[in-house]
Amino acid sequence: MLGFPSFRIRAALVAARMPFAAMAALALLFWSPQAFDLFFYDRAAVAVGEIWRLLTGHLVHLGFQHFVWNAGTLLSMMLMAKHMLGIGYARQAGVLLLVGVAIAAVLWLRGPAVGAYSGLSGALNGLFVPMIYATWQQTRDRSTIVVALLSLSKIAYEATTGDTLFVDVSWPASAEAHATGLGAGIVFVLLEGKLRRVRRRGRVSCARVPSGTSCECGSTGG
Amino acid sequence: MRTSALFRTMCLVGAAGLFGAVTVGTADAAGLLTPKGSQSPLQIVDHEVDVIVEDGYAITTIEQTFANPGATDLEAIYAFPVPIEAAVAEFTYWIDGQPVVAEVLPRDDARRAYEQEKAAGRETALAEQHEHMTFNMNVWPVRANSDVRVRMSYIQPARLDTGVGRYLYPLEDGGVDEVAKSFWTADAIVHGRFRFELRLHVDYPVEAVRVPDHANATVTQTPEGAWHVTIDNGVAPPVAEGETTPAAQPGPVASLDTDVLVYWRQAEGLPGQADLLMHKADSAGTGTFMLTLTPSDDLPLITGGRDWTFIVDRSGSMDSKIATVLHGLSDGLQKLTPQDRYRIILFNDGAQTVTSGFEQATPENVNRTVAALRRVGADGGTNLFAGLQTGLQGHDADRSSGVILITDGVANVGPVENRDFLNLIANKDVRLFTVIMGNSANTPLLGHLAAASNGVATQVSNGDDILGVVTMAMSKLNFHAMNQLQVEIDGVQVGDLTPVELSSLYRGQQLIVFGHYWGGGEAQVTVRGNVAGTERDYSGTFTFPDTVTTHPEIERLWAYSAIEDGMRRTAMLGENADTRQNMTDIALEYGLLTPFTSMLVLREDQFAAHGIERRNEQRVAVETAARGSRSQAQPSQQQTVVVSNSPRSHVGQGSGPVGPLFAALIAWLGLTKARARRREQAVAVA
Repeated sequence: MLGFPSFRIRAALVAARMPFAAMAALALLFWSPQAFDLFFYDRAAVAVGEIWRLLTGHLVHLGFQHFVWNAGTLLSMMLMAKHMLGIGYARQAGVLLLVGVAIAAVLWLRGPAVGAYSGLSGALNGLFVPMIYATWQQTRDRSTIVVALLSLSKIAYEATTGDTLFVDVSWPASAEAHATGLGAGIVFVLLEGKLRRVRRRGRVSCARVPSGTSCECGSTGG
Repeated sequence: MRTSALFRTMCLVGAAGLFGAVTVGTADAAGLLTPKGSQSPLQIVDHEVDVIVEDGYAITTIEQTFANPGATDLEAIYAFPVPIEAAVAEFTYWIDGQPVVAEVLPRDDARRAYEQEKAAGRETALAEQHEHMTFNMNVWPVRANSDVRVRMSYIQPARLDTGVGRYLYPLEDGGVDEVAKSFWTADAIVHGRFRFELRLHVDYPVEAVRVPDHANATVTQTPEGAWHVTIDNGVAPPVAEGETTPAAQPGPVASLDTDVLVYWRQAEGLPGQADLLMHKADSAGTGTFMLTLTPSDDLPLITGGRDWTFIVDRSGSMDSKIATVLHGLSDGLQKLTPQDRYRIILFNDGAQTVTSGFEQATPENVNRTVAALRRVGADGGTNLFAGLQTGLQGHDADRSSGVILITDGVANVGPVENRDFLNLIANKDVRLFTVIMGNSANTPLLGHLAAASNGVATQVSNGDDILGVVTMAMSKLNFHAMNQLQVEIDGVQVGDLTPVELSSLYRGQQLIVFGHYWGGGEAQVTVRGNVAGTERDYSGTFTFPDTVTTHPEIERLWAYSAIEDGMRRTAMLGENADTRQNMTDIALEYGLLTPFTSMLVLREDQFAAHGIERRNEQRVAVETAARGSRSQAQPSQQQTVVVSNSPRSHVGQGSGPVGPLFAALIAWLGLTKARARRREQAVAVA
């Protein structure tokens, strides 16, 4: 019991460092000479068993500009989501994981048309959705709807024109990864909402159980 | 997998090495040549380039004005690097304000006539090809306090590779021609207007266009889907047609020392396709066709370890590039798997092996090699033969091998004849991949060497998109190639197919074949090949018309390809009078500037005096008229058949940096939340 508060402090300190640790990890991967070749999504390599590339492709970047924008945005999003919107790092990690898997699945299902992919921006688009939702829930400010519509418009523009702000012919920015990220983010919010409702119902139904009777409906009962 | 990573790294190395050469002086650029030690007052006033890319080929037209502010008449000599696969079709010199189109003559005859006219004080101009290195234009006279105007036009195939098209307007000279360097200096400054305009009218959808290294380039798309690229230094054009006076408004001075590169990316998901362009002016005559096959992405993967031999040029001309090349080579070695083996051979006056034979790519071996490479510098001559000879020895027949040759120069030590090199690679069971750095390497030889071993030659410009080169190389060497290619056409009489010998087709590459046909009607066109021991074919039905006149230019492309065949034969079998005569005849008939033929302009009355027929003038008129009518029509003028519903290969995708818009949206969200919090606090206080 005596160690408990110091553990909590340590845990809080670790948590506070999470965004910086994430950024440092991305930087390490960026500056490590072998990381890109080892981790980018390479369809041919995945086909012969290097399946880690399905997820690690999100973590490596093509160039300094690509890296700086994405890592900087990740840092600011993580801090903002945690400290302004109350989205904990565990939830953030959950979104990023779901979005990462979804994008990998789409890339794989697209077949040989997409032979290679790298970068975090698809996943960042996914993380953006719960942030928009949380802002709306907490503020009911209509400008949040404008932000949401602008995000959708940006992706619709990329998808319809094939053009992006930073067009690189060799590795063109993937509008479908951005769209998949956004879609997976929406799915995450919906799933979370559903789970929350289920839990709430559980709490309500347990609360109605007469005292002295055991409740079998979940951990919150009682 | 790793082996291909290594090759693509080598391409990166080759390309990255060129960055060292970016700071070329004016001696290593396109420009007006002046003998060293003398000062010529001649100036390039205007330099305007118009490029049309359509239906499988690009037509480049360069119009220039040279001025002589001095007090005596002078001869202008302008030189620029030979573009890849370029068939020069037109050279025009304005005499008395009227354009006079050049005629093609055997090289010596043209030079003699030029000197005669010059001695007689009459206006004349001559365009010659200096080996594989430069096109030279001589213009006489540029009168004192006056200027002259010339135009050159060339045509070249516009290939797609892994879904990416690439157009290069070469201006940087690699500085490997020591004789020329010791004699000439080149003034690359454009004192008036510099304009580069490229119009992309192709029949497949283009997703994006990019112009690296030219921040002032503007790229626009028309509602019809065509793309325009413009680079302009802002100096106003002459007021009226025919006026050659420099514009009054001063603008930023341009220098012809940086290549202009344009990339375009086709839409993804397009099917495998065969395209056919034809020209036949007379129903009873000979027709010409150009067949382009863009296969589906269906070549199988290669697995297992390989042996890699790297042959790297460390001669003096590599001085500014060698550190980058070797640094990249070191990075590349670290990406090999322990199943791979490697060895490194450096060459200048002789060949030196850095490794002791093939070494297993273990971390210890690689670290030792990397340490050894750190001590290497560049100096001496270019004994390419010694390097290649060493690199082609000692291969294990049981393992698949790749040899990567990186060079920017021309062999000048040891055996230097093309035939020596081609004999060296004949009957060797290795694939040679040549990375040709810059515009002055012996591109024909390096291309022949790669083709003879069923490998690939990659030319890299200073302005090239490094990641583009990397990605394309990666996608090729991960997969088996289509070998033993054959083209069969049933239903129409065809002949004179060129290239005579088809090289292997790697992933993402297109096959382009030219030929003649007689008569007309429907025909089945089949391209057969062998992929990893299995027969494969692509087939489609086309209509060969009795007459069709929309693309007369493909006659010259056929002629250029046939001359290339002759050059390859000469390189393999040695100089042969018949082959040379055949190449000269083709060049004369189709009006091409080659190492054996030159383009000569005389005053109109002097053509007759010299007994020169005005055949090229007629051909140019026909081509100009066809181009005009095409510009009025829809982009597609060619027949297209889907040969496979599977998609063709396409480059990879990046997630893209999220960019400022996304960052602004996040900031907006943060401000919204902060504002709401302040409101809550205000309410709480109240």
